[in-house]
Amino acid sequence: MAEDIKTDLFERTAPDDDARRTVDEQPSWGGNDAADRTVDEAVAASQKPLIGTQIDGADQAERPSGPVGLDVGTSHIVAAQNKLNHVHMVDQLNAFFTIPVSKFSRRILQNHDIMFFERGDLFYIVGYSADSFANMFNTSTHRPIQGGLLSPTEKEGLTVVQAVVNTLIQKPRRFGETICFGIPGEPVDAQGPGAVTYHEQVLKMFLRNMGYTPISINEGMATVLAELAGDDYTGIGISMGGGMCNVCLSYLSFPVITFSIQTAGDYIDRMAGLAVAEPTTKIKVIKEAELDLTRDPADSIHTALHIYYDEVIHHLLKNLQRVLTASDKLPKISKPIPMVLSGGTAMRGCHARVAKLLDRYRLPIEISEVRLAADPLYATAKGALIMAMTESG
Amino acid sequence: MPKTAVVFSPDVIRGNVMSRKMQHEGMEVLLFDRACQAAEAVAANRPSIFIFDTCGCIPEELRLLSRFCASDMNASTRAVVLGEDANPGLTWMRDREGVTLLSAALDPELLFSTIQGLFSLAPPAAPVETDSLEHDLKDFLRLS
Repeated sequence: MAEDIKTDLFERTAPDDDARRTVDEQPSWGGNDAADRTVDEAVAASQKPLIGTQIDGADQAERPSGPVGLDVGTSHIVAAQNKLNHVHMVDQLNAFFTIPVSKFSRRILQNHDIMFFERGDLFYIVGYSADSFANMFNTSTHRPIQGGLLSPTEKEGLTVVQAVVNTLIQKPRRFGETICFGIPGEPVDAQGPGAVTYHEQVLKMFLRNMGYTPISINEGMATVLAELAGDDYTGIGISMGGGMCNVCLSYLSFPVITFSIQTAGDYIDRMAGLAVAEPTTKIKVIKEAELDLTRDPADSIHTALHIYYDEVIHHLLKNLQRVLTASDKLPKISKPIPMVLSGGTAMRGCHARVAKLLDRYRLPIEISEVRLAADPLYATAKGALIMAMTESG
Repeated sequence: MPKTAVVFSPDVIRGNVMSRKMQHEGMEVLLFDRACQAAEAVAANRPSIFIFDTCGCIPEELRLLSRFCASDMNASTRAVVLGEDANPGLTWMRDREGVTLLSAALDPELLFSTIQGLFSLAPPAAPVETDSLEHDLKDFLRLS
């Protein structure tokens, strides 16, 4: 029933669940040394440099010897671990490609150290290897997650996610090690509450079976933990990924308001591709290699990308205005608060565009600045690691 | 400055926001979403402040608050009630010593400054200072 200033410094998942947790514990005043230590270590980890590695072969996954942060995104899965002098990040493409089972194919896959598993009469090639195969066959990979949530149309979606996670981390050295994974907020345009529940619970089951103690954190809140230590964890964190934009307004590290929209990077690629009659894969490559939203568009593809980026940003800000103005939970905050963006879609000058378009929206709280996370691709995993470190011990 | 607070709010998000603010300012906080347990905690722990959020309260909870403030609350505890003056369940509060009514709007900064104000009303005991050097000098000169 009590709330402990140290052990509950960071909150996780849906505000209601966390708030419930804080009021359902046994009353006790003040903190304790062990809890203080874990929070201090988590805060110290948040200041360490990030070193990232892409996994490109089988059997490279580590057995973690401490808490783990996991970002299960639509396009990538990232695992974060706290090391002596840095935070170690490993990432893998969250995609798969299928080929028919044959002895010959099996031997080739094994000889080339390619990550795959067999289901029925198909080999499922996962991760970056799937991308190579798709390019070889001049087609696209499949994704187990769509719109930020496990895809209902991919029958083996969860198995693929498990296979991808297994390429990043193995079972922990200590049974019951804490792992914190990012989950989306409830989509604003969902039919009703509970859209995220299935996604969250099956991931928890899988991680528990691996030997971890899984906890979840809203992706926007993870961005706040990773980036807003200097602002007392008060501000708006937005994770802009492939399938979703996740928003969290945090007040002194408590997630007061969370929501998501299911339009993000993939929508931009698809719609821009349709507009200029080019394949989505080509648009994505151009976007990642050339696009700069702070400059005027150079050609029709860039123009289409600018247009759909603006559409996504307007959709995001309009919903932010709608949710904040309708909420009776929004605390009055006298000082302007920062907004920090993370994720692949937030790059390429997106934060500057958000700052510019924000002028057109009247929010019930003042925004001091819009900034990009120091490591946009790793911010969610880093925030999840900070949460995992805080909760372990 | 008050050191301890018991916070009751039937809305767990509002309760957590208020608790976070108090904790951020260095107070120790117990948070409850059930009024009877909050009242028990106040009686048992004698905190400096009891914050009672009436937003979303049922009439029974308001009656419990009224009874508690009238009889069971320790004299050293001050109650801050978040609610509207027009609420008929709160009319008993008028002129009640030790109870302050604050708007129900979620304004943690105003809440904290109100609490600060309540405690600054009581004048702090002036510290007894003896300037030993001056005292010694007066002694030496036989002026004391």
